[in-house]
Amino acid sequence: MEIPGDVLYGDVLVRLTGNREAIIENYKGIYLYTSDKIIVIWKNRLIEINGCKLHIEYFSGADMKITGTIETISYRVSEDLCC
Amino acid sequence: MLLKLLRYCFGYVKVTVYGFAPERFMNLIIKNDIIIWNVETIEQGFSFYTGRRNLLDMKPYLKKTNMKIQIMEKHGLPYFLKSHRKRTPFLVGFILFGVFLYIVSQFVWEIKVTGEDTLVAENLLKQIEEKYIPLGTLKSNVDCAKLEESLRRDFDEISWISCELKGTVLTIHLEEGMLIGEKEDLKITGDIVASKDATITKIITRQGTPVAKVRDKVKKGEILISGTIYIYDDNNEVMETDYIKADGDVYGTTRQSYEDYIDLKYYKKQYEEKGKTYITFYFMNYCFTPFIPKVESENVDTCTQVHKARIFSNFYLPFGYKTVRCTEYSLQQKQYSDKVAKKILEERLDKKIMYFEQKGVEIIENNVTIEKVDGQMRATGHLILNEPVAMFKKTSGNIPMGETDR
Repeated sequence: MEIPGDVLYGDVLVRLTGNREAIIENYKGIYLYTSDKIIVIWKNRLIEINGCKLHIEYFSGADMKITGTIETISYRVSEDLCC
Repeated sequence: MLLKLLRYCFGYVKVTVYGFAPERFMNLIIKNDIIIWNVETIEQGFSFYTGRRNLLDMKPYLKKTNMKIQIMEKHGLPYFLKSHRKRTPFLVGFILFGVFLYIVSQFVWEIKVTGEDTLVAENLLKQIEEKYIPLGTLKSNVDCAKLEESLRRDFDEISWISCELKGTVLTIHLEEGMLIGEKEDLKITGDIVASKDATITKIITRQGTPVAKVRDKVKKGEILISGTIYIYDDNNEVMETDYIKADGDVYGTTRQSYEDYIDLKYYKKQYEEKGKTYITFYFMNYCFTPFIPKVESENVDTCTQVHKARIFSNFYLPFGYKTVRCTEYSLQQKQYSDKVAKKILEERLDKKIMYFEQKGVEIIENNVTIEKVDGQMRATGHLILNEPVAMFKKTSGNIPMGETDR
C-alpha cells in the first residue's frame, strides 16, 4: 500500500483550479502577503505565488485559499526564516 | 449558505491589524485554530473577517507581535439584538406573530379542486364546505379517506379522487370518467311502450313481439313491442307463454308545439365610464371597510374580487382583502324594431331546431309563424318531428293474450 507523500513526508499540497484559484494545505505559515506576491512557508522551503490581485479568501491552520490571477508558482529554499 | 447562516447567527467582525510583523501575527493566529477569511492587504497590515469570539483569543498574539487592531464592521445576530435591545415590544410582537402563524397553520383555510371537466368546481367546493369540511376546520379533524369516499358517493361522474392536505390548503384532485351503468338484471321483463302520441314511421324489433306497425297512430303508453312470447304448436295453438325484456327501436312522427315571445320595449343598462372602487378587509367572517364611496344612484352593479393573504402557495391565512368595484348605470328604455325582434325569435327557433337535430331528431315540418301582437313579437306554431318514441316499461309478466293481438 502506497502511503501519500503529504502523510509520509509532510509534503505541502497545492490544488490549482485554472489560474484563478489555489488551495494550499499542510503549510507552516505565511511569509509575505501582498496583492502581487504571496510566499507560504513549508518546512524549510518557500512556495512563491506570483500574480496580480491576489487575495486570501480564507486562512486557517489546516488550509488556505488564494484567489486572483496566478502567474507563477515556484519553490525555493529559504535560509532566513524568522517565524 | 449554511456557513453564512452560522456566521450570521454567531456574529462576525471585520478588523484591521497593523504594525510591525503582520505575517507573524497571522501565523500565530492560524496555529491556534483561529479562522479568518477575505484577507486583504493594506498599508502596514491586513484587514480580514473573523468570528466574534476570536477577538478575545487574538489579544495575546497582538501583544506578542506588537500589533494594533481596529474593528471596522460588526455583523450578525448578537450585534443586531444588542442594538435593538430597547425595542422589546418589537421583539415581543415578532414572537407573538410567530405563535399566531403556528396556531393558524393548524386549520384549513383554502380548498381547491383540480381535474374537473363536466363538474363545476364551484358546486363541488360549495358541497364540500357545506357538508364536509367548512373553512376553519382543524387539520387533525380532516379525514381524507372519508372525504374521498363521500365525494365519490355524491358525484357519480368521479372515477378517481385524491385529497391532499398541504399547509393550510386542502386540494382535491379528481378525474371524471364514464358513468357507471347499472348492472343489467336479466330477470326483468317488460314491454316497449310509446313515450308520446305519435304515428309510427319505423319499428326495429330486437327482442319481443312487435305489436304496432308502421303508419299506426299510437297514444302515449300504448304497447309497441310486447315482452310476451307465445310458443305455438303444430295446430297453431299457444303451447307456452314466456315473458322477456322487450328491446327495439321505434320511430314516429310527433307534433311539438312551439311558443316564444319577446317584448318590443326593453331596458338597456347604460354604464358610467368610471366605476368606484373600495377595499374591505376581512378576518374570518368579520369585515372592516374603512371607506365606502358615495353612490348616488340605486342602480349599481357590484363586482367583488377576493384576495386571500398567503405565505407561499400552500399557506393561506384566514384574512385578506376584497376589492369591490361599483359601477352605476342608468336604465334606458329602448325599442326593438320589428325586423330585429323577428330576427331574434328566428335565431332562438334555429337554436331549438339545432338542439333537436343534435339529439337525432329529424324536423319534417316547421309551422311556426312570427307576428306582432300587442307590443310583443310572438312565435307560435308547431314542429312535426320524426323522433324515437320507444320507452321501456317493466311488467310483472302476466299479460292476457287478447291485448297483444292487433
